Amino acid sequence: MVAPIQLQNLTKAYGSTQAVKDLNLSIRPNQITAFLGVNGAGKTTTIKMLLGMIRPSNGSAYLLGTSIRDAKESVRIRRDIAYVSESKQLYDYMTVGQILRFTRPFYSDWDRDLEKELLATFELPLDRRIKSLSKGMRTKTALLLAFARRPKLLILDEPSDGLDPIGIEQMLQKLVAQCSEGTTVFFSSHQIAEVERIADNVCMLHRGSLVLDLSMDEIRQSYRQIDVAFSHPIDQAAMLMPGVEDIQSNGRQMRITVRENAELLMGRAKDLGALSVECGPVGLREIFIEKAGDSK
Amino acid sequence: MMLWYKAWLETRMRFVIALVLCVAFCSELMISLPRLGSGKVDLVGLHGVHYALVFVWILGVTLLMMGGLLSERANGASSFTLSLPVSRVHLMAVRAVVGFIESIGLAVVPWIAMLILAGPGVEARRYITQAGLQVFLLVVGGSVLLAIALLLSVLIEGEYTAPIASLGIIILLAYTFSGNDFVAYSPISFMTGLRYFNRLTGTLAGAVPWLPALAFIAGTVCLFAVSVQVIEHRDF
Repeated sequence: MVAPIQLQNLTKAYGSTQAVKDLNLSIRPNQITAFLGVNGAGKTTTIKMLLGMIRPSNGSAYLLGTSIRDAKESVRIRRDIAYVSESKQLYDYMTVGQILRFTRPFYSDWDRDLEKELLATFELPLDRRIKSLSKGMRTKTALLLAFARRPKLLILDEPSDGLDPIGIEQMLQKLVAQCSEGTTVFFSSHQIAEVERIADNVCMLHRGSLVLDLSMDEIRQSYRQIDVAFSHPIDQAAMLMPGVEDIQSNGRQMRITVRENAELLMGRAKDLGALSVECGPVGLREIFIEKAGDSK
Repeated sequence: MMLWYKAWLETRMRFVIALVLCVAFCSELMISLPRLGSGKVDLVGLHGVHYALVFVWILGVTLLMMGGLLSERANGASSFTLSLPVSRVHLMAVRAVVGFIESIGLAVVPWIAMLILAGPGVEARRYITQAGLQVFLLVVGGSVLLAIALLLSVLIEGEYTAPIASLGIIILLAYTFSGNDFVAYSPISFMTGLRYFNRLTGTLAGAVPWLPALAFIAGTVCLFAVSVQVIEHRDF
């Protein structure tokens, strides 16, 4: 099966600044993939390149097997793709009903029943102007427009931004439901809790480069946090070995994040005279902070 | 089809405002014009009102060409537009055609009001023919200004910056082409019809100026092509 999103050395440079650097990525079909990164990491630039809004400086990308550089084909495949932008801005001069009437005819798979269901769930007033909607209501309208077209690929940029906890819950449930019906979901988010709840895979971008591309299962199984206490100060270098991702030390105590070789590292700590060695799972939040922390 | 719907919804308020302005302005002038013994306004008077209409029309068209993808980028809606399965050329073309149709409305409707207020009576056919010619000159010459406004709307960001720049360029054009050597190339001079209408009779003197008309249409097409190229290569 063709990867719904495939990036090969995708690069975007603005002058001497590289917003996205040699990005290689392949998204698994019919799964939910989260796209993480701090502000300015290059997530939105990557998404906009995929949708033909920004021209890549180098490299190539394929959406549903079609090159994004082919302008004609790029227009065609947008019938199978739904996108909710970071801003969630729609046309202020239209009402909710008008924007539905406007959007429907572009998509042959538009689901009127789902539209009605979402209108009721999100409590969207058809006759209200978009301009007068709250940010949360705008987000819900944008989500409705994306969900109701029954896309093969759903790309969302910070979808929960502006939603209240109930709205977030409704959105997450809908995402999972759409995925179970065959839609591939690719979404960027800062909300780690949301990602941990629904994502099957996680990609993380940092300063335009891919620093993590694993399934949630792989993260849960392979990442470990090891807390070690020594009676005397130990040099961090003594604990370095393949698989060590991060070491935080205050001399006698160390917190080590490892991706592999946890057992080996615990053995070394004991050999060095550790008073206590504790090993536990690592949350996505810790990995996120560890990967992106150097920018803060 | 829905892009036409969007373009209409986007511009209808500005169109109505511009239309009301044009009709009210022309009607006011018509009412103040001296009338012949039969109570009608002669064609010279109508030609004078047309001259004034040209400038209000330019303002109206500048208003109409506000908006577009760059303006949508400023408020964030361009991402939604560009995610639709339509090309940027298609988006531009619909916007240009709707603007052009509305600009015809801005010329035709005030002229209908002018003709009604002129009360031509048995000379209605002659009045309508001359009105048609004046509208033709206005719309064809004005299409260049419409294309300039369109081009600036894809070059300059900001809701109001592009129309202000557009008006600035139109004033500059009017000033540059005002000398006798260049007046033949002036779209504004073409629109007013001063060079083609007899000032004593208010009727077209000689043949319809097809050649300049074609030149202005060609200029419009070129400007539109440049606008398309600009929008095709822009990052959003």
